[in-house]
Amino acid sequence: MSLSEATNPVRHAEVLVTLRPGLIAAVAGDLLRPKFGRLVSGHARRHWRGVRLLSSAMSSELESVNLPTELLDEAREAVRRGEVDSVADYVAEAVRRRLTKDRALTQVTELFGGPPPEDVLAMVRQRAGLPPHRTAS
Amino acid sequence: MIGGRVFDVSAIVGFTTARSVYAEALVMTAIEENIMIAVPSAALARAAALIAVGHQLGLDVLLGLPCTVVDALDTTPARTVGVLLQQAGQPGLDVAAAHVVHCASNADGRS
Repeated sequence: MSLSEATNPVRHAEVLVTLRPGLIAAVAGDLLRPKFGRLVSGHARRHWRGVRLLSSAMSSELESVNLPTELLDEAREAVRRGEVDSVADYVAEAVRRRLTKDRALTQVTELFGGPPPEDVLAMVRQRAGLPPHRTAS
Repeated sequence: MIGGRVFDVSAIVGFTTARSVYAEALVMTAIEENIMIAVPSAALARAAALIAVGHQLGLDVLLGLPCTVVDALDTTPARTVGVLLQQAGQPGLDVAAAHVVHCASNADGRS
């Protein structure tokens, strides 16, 4: 499995995953950069490539991501249930979905020249029976 | 089609021309919360006729969203919409509006 973890006292785990270069580039871009960890060092990259991490080396790269332990546990459970082949696949799918969503939100915001007023968003969410929008911290 | 929101002509035009911040908020919420947006094809045709040249990008954005589904008015729904108009006693009424009603009743959604 293309995974290494080291649980720390705040219940986060470091996960090494292989992602396609396109996803890496998008993740490393401005859109999601604050939410993801650093790129692993060349030494670690070579080490893990030797272990077997990059079985499809021409189409994937190595990324180090810190995840809350409970999320990692759920990803592993999905692998056990056979829903995905590996935790790396699970993470890649999650990143792909997030990028699709963020790109759509960006397109809408650009079309309107900015986000809608908060009170209008709140009204829409209330009418849809959704909880109030989370504000950025 | 289950759940979601149905866009009528005014919602399509309002979003496409970037004049309706309510439509913008609705679409952004739909994207964030994975809520489906149904666009009845008859309403789409009507809206496309009303949208001025230069606003095609807005239509492309709406139709390209991951949560947008265009509801085709093919054989079965076309007959159902016709019956709906007949039952309303207004066979000459706007087909686009009737298609929106048909989609909303199928989706249990709100236009």
